[in-house]
Amino acid sequence: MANETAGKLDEIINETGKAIKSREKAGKLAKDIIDITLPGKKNPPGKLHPITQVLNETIDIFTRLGFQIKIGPEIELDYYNFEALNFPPDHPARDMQDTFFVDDKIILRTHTSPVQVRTMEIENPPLRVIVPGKVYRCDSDVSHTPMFHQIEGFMVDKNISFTDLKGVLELFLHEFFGKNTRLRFRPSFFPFTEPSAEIDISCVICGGKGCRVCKHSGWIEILGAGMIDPEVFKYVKYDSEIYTGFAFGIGIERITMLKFGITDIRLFFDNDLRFLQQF
Amino acid sequence: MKASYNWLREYVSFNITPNELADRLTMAGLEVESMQSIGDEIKQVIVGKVIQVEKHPNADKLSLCKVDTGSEILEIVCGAPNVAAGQKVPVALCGTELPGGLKIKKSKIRDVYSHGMICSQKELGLGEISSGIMVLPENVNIGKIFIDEMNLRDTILEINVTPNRPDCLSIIGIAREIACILRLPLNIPEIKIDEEPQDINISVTIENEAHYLCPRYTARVITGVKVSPSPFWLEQRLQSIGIRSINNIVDITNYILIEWGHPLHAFDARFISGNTIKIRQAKQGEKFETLDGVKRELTSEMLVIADKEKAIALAGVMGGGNSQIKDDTSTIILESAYFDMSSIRKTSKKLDLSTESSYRFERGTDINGLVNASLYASMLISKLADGKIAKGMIESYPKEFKNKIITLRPEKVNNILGTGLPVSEIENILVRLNFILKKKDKEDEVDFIIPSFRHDINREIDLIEEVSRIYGYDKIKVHTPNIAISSTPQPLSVSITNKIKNTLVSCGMNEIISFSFVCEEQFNKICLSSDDKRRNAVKIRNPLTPEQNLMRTLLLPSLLNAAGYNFAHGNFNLKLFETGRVFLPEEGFELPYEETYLGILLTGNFSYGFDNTLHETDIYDLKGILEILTDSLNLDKSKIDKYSNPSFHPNKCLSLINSDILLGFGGEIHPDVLENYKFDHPVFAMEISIDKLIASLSKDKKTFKPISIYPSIMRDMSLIVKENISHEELLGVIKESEKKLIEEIKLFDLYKGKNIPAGYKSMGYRLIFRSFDRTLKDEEIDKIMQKILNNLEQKLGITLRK
Repeated sequence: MANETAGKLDEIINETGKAIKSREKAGKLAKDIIDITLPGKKNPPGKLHPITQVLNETIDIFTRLGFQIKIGPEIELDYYNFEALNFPPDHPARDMQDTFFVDDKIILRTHTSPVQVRTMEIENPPLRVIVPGKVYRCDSDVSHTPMFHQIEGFMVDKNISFTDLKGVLELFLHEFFGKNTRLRFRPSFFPFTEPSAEIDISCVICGGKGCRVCKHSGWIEILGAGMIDPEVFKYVKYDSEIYTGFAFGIGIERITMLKFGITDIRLFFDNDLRFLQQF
Repeated sequence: MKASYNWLREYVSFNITPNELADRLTMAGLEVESMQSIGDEIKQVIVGKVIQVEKHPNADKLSLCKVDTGSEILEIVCGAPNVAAGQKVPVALCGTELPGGLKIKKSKIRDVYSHGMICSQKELGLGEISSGIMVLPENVNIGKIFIDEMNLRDTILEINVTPNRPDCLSIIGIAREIACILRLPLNIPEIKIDEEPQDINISVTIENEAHYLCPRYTARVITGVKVSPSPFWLEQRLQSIGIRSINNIVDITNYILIEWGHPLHAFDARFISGNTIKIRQAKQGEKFETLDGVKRELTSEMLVIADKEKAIALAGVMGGGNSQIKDDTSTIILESAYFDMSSIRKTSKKLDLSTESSYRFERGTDINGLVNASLYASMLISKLADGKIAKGMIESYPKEFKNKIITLRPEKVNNILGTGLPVSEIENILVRLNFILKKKDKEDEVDFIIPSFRHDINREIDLIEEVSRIYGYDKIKVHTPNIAISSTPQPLSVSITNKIKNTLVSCGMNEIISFSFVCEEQFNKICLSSDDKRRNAVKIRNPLTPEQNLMRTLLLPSLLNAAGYNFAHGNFNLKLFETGRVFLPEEGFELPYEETYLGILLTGNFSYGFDNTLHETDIYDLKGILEILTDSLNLDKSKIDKYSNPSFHPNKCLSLINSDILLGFGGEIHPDVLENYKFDHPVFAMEISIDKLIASLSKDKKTFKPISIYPSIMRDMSLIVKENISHEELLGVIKESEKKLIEEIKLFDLYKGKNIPAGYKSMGYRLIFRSFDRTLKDEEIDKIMQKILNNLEQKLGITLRK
């Protein structure tokens, strides 16, 4: 009987001890408060320049389609930048691109297209190539800077037609701007492609209803393209009766501005930290 | 090229709206860049009839008019001398706003109320004439809207004509395209002129000494011309597309230029000496004053139109002041010619003088069309300036133009476009474009004769483009190419640069992109020594600004400029990097060597979280980034060493070396450089050649090293070290003392100052010992520690801190 009672007493004491301890613990925990709204502790990572981000995204889409990357010089011979791309000397087509000259034969490349010729000179079809890089034109205002970035792309093989150009560019633009983007191909002129096209997309801001960005047309000019002119093939000794190809050029600043809603191209090169850290 | 919707409709009777027209043109390659409605600003102005004019009782020069506006008779005060009863006039009623912001109100003029305004052309924004009110023709209806009665409602299309299509630099050229697109006829009016019996050859002769630069030259002579202001319709036409009216003769030549796309030039015959027009190359250094009053020095490759004595025009570019049409001109010689495209362009470029005329000649005009342009102009001059046209046309045309004939394979059209167009549709499109079809014996080929105005059509592919453009790009199907699968690696320069960028971003650095331009001043600012070969930079002949006249040979100026921009905008704490090319001229090579560099810049204070003290950037932050970079790239043979360069602090400059190759250098920016940039904080920067770094990359694969399963023992020691003894020397002694069991040595404290004797520093090290084959005992580590301390004391005089 006594044992039984003692046993019960022990149990009670034990229980009470546990209860006191757990209450103590609870009290301690309750006092140990934090301010959950304080910032987390970190060494924050930096940011890639928005141009690099968009270049990478663009390169990524095309490399997934099997395009390989080529690069070429930024200070270029007139021959590669103009002549072999079918811009004859003293031709008004040269006025389409305001050129920085080093001397009569050497210029700052005005587009990444010279790498087309440089690549085709040393490699044979089939070719699927993209060329990212800096290009230069002597022009400066809200929508022009003397240096900017382009991606040139081209594809050469047997039986490549204008329908393939439309197919590849539609794939790219749908990936980059979204599946609902509408495309418009309209005739234009570049000396190194024929037929040549300018490609518009439905305005990314208003969806095509018309706004300030698309000048109320509902369309935004996004890139130039075309079937590679047989004259260019002549310069690189490809037989245009056997091979055909297409080429296109994308202005990276332009698509970056559209993607992020940037209104002044010069912001890219001011390198203000408050700008760089936004992307 | 500006084109008026109404004007175009005179040549093709289409029924679509300006918007639809713009869309159709754009989709055929004539991009309409903008549209402007004309007449909207004055749509409230109505037609009124002046029924009575009296002198204003209180002012000599003012009249008091009664004007019938259809619904009422208004009293209006008018100051124009030409106002008269019976005139139909434009009336701005009270409440109307005119171009320029003038609001018409009922107002008292010298004690008499005026209920509106009778307007002059200038007040309506329709021209320059402000000397009197505009008097309207009899057939306009009183009380109706002025712009509708006068047919002034119009839309001006701004069309971007690409350089290959000079034939579309005219109203008729664009109308021709519209006719083709809309499958409508082009209505060219019949040109009828009455020639005088007097033969032209009596009055002028042509001597063409440079027919290779001027393949065709024609002239007509018109006598008895009365130079006067142009009629309203002509003035209005030119004004609508932005050309100011001068006088009837000049306006007519401008009108033909715009309508026919052919530049004409009118000379005053009085000033042509010897009645001879001589086409010749300029004499080297020949002086000539153009119409714009600028005296120019010509070179021998330029073409001039001259008389017996002197040049009278810079062919195809601009006329001369010495033979221009004057108010009292009565006999004119009207030139219509074809000049060599490239010659005109060279002249225009060389003199930096581009005109509507040179713009068209350098792109290519119509060698056959020039005759009709001249005829049409003569007709207008005879109509609008009472001119009498001399009989015939004098001409120099030694080699008659032959139309090109081009063979087209319809199959090739479909191959290039990926279409399945039937031959008939291809032929139909090209015929609509005025190409003349010539069937051949061969079934799979067709010949086309190309009209003289299409300079751009020279090959089969040019015809294919025409087919695709008119057929419509939007009708061509979308197809993804069938191409063999292949795999090629990315160039290392791309993949390694990406890896470097990602590593630096994870170190908290932000990427910048700078222009590739520098100038000599910047080399001076970074204290680049006078014999440094990076002063030898590629020079741009036509820089935008003198500060951008060189291509950079190093990144440091770009980095410092970016820092400066940020400092000026309140961003003082910066971790920046840039990758980009530098351009290094090389003896014996046409193009400079383009080397890709990485530039790093650090400055300011950083902290980890909110309860830590701020850490001020120092040289070891820079070194830390280099260590992370070389580790992530597995550059296991790389070494960071002392270096010396005038841009950097003499004692805080370091280099990155890999197997004896200098990959780059940097450090704390020299105070002199900071001063040049007006920076007042320390700045750290470094440049590394990515190309050299790629060349030094180890080909060795990383291999696994086993991990010990036994526990470690840790010992700390605090040492008093002479200031000139380096960390590396100290490590050497420790490692020498125990070669097997030390797993890691870590410096955890470096201190100078209080409690440490002058000339000494305190260094705290943590040593971790571990074995691969057993559990270590404290006693053996005690022995090793003793040996290390003894060696440190004996070799370097280092003692334990008490």
